[in-house]
Amino acid sequence: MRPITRRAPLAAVLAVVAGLLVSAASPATDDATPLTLDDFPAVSDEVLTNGLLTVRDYSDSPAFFTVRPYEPGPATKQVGQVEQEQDQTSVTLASDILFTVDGSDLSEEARAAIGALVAQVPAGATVTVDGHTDSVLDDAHNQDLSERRAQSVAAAVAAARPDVVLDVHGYGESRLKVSEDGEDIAEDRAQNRRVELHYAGAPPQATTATAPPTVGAAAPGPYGETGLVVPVPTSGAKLLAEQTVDAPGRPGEKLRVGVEGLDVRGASMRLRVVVERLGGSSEPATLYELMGDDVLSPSVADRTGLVEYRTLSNTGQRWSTDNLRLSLVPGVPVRFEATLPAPLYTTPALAVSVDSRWPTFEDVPVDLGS
Amino acid sequence: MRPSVVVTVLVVGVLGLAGCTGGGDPKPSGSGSAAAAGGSGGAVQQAGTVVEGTFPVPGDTDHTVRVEVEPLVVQDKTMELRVWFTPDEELADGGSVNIYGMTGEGDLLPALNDLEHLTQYFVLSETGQQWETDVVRAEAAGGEPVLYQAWFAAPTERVESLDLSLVASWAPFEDVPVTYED
Repeated sequence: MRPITRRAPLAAVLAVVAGLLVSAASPATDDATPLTLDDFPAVSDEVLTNGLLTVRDYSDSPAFFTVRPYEPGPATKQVGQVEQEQDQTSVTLASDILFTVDGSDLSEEARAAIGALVAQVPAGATVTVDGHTDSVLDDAHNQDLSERRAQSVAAAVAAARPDVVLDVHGYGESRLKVSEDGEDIAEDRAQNRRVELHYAGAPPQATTATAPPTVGAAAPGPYGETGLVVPVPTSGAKLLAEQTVDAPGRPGEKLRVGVEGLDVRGASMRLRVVVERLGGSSEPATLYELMGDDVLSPSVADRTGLVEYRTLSNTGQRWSTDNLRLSLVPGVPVRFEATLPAPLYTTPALAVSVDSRWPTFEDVPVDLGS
Repeated sequence: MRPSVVVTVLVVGVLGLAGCTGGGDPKPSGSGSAAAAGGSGGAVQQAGTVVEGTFPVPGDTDHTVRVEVEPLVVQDKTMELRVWFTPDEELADGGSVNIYGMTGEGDLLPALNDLEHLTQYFVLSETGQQWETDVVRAEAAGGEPVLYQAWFAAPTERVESLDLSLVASWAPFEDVPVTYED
């Protein structure tokens, strides 16, 4: 136990010193009544709009400190990103949306989406299909995975456009789109997991979504029981889905990771993840340490609507639990909570990736609320 | 102006070096008369608190602290948060314990979350000044409550409730009512 009760006399001496220093800035008083704003300097507009400390608004202005608004757009990723350079069109397909971890099978919806993306390709044109992975795991694994995924996408292109010529390659991790040593390694890796289509001709026209959109805008509050406190599940409590995984930062140590809930509230989707150490030293370890000095940045994929949702962020600050402040001891679960944009489409289940190094939880039921 | 609200960082720094968290006589910074009597979360209580929960002290699972939250009050450009912390008897160990100690020695980082409008609110601050109770000086004996107050910017939208997170490892308080005084 840490020393949290009062210690005398050293503490008293130091407190006196501190008190003297403080008194230089404020007159001492024994008043024990509640504070009022008069006890503080005037609340200036600068304080109220301090974009970094007091309001964090993640919608338009990057007020960061005090009011932090979050813009859902950057945290919502559609399956295909199109770039046009002169007469060359490149379509980058996000593997995290199309495929399960280490998988290469496409859903019916994914094949249809790919078909729509190549509808504008000129007849007889050559379409290059290049599969790429991140640098996690070994070269041989990644080479094989990239080839299988490229072939799956090529098959979908061929089904939609039997008149085009296909040139299919798998590059494994040999052609990373971005280096994986930035501040956001998870994002870097996600960008590298991709299949690219290249052809000479006009870009695909924008297509309308096949699934009906949800209400999208915020539902009116209040959206739950007043003052509800949902306790962190105890060890062994049943979760929506769970698995045992390796702790990246502690070789040989295992973690129980589970999804406690995936709830749509207003314009947001709240993901609650429970993490428990299954052994190892009884000394506390932060979740940050257990993840190999890495942040946790979960994402959620809609494999029917083909959209990926990421943890909301503003100026590099994520709307999620600070995993540096989550200490774990074996046998005591902790909760990690992340806030993502509300899904664009009504769907009964979504795929949850807690960390790209672990298998994805497929078909996690979504609580859409009332 | 009382010392408890000024130069918080300095006091924490000095006492932190000593491995202690208290100072001065053990007098709660708030009236004990506001202690809520039992009841489940969601019930309006004597002191006006609308929700309570009991949580383990971060890093010290042998001890607990009871947390009671009053409705948020918006007045003009600011929004006030009032939270009562009550340490268990063993935690105080016959003396007193401050809010800093009850909340993991630095883990108290209040945030008010608007999940409808995707906005978070943090304690007003400017060049080291935090508009909040000095958590090092505010202390209580075992079983006695101590009041913590903090001011935030008024909500940018007229919301009826906000979620409150206090400590990363604690479950958040959902839908804390917001009242408007003007």
